[in-house]
Amino acid sequence: MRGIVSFDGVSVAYGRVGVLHEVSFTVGAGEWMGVLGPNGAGKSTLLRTLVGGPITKGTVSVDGNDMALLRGKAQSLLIAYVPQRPVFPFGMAVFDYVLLGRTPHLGMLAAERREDIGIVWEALRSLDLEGFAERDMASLSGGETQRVAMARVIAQQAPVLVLDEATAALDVARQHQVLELIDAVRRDRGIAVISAMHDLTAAAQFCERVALLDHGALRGVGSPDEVLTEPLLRDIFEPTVRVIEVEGSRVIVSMRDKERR
Amino acid sequence: MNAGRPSKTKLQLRWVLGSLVFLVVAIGFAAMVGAVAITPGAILRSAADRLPFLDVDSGLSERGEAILWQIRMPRIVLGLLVGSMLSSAGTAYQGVFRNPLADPYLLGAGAGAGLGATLAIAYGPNTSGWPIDPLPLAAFVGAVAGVVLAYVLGYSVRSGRTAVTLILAGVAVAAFLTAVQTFVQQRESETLREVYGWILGSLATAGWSEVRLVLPYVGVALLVIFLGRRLMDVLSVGDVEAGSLGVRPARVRLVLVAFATLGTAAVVSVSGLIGFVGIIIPHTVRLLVGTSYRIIVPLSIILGGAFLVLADVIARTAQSPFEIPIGVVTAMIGAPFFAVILRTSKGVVS
Repeated sequence: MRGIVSFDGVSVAYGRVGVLHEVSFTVGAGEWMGVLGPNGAGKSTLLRTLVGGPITKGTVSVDGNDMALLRGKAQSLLIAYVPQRPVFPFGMAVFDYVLLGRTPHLGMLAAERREDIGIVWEALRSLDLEGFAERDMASLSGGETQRVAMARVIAQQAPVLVLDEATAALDVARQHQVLELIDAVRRDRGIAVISAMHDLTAAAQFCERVALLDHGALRGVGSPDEVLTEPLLRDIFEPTVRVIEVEGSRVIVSMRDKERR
Repeated sequence: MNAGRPSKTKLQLRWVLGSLVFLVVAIGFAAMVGAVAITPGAILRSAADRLPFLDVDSGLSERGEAILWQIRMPRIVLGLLVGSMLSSAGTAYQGVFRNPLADPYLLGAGAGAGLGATLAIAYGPNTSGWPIDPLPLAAFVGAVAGVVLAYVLGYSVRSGRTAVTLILAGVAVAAFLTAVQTFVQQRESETLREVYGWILGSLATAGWSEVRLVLPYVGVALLVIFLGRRLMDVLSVGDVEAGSLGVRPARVRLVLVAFATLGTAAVVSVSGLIGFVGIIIPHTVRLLVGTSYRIIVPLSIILGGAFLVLADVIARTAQSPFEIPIGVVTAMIGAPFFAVILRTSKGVVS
């Protein structure tokens, strides 16, 4: 598999405080890479190196480009980004929102071209959102908004999608639906997905590979089966962590002491 | 090309055409009414006569021609420029600050112009013999200085160049400049009436020279705001996501605020501080056609101009031969009109 993103000895420090230490791994084109670890492990800092965040040492490259040298539009042509809570402008039509994805393809003061309109329609169609084009964003259900957000990602046509805990605020079933949607888009379009995640069980089911961070250092990278092992997780999180196998996939839970239940 | 899309494009085209028709009607109406009534036919014939290669007898006396072309027309054109500018500047401010209450005077342009004008009225030399009037210049400089001050203050805040810091800096600058202006006014109380009259705004002194004076500024400012309309849509998803789409929010804000301010300062210098246009027109447009700036900006430009031309007709005819300050008219007509729109619309306001 061709590497589309590579982190090479990446360190990030704020003043004297090191947040990330010599992290190295690559992500293949079209691959789903989960970035896991406890709060404060450096997941967001690592993802931010892809969208203009600071890099103290080492290089982050996407499709052969050193991200430290890319700014603005050039960066957005490579990376699509969805934050934990995307802003959905109240009153804006779905079509206009998805059109925002075309921004990196247009000159600063240029208007959208016919080609961009076509791409937006194609993105809407591929997610069954055609009938929603003129609907107000505020009138959509939660699931519909997530689909519209993905349509914007599709319209952006970047080879890499960065998700910063994009499903952390959702309930179990909704999270599952959104992850399926992301996976479908990834497979359809060959987009590599790099997602910071807290839900280790979901990561085990959706990510092809995972990178496990702790205190800013990489503790393991590989398939979920290789990395999400009980000894390693207990060392990083808590000794209460249990890894259970269900239908060939790993379920990771933290079990309370039997006596205290 | 695409099912579904044409209906919206057509709808937007209809709005643009409709508002252009409204604008033309407003201009025609404003040219007709006044102390001397001029018929629509005479206006059309007189206009045709001014076209190259055409020779039409308008049927107007020499005095009628002069009233139409030297008094009413410059006033209409200036009203058009002022209205379009204030309305689109308001739209731009609301867009870049993601704040529905933003208006062109938000960052101190109004307070700065007010102080500049007050200083010119209170301490300016007797200029009746001068070729140029220093008052517009003082107002222009004051407006620009107010916004520059707000920007310098906002950017000096260490925590970053966010929209909120900038707005707060603008509030501080505006409060300070207004306080200084009030202080000067109190000390030089004989200027109260003149300053007050200037602040409420008027197009009464409009001539072609005023039009020529503001046209370059307004032209450039309108062009930049029009071209930047798509970027305002991008800013509506917040600075972080806008950044991830390749836009630098602080830079877009700076460019749009700079040109909106330049245009606003120019029109304020000749018309005074006409209020309400920068808020009511953009919001009325929003309530009618939704919140994409790609359509709000052009409609705000057209309807802002039409609105101010009509407001000026009321200002000069309602109590003829006395003039009502146009700022009073924009508020008295504008507020109830806005309330009606607000009640009857689907309630789409950001």
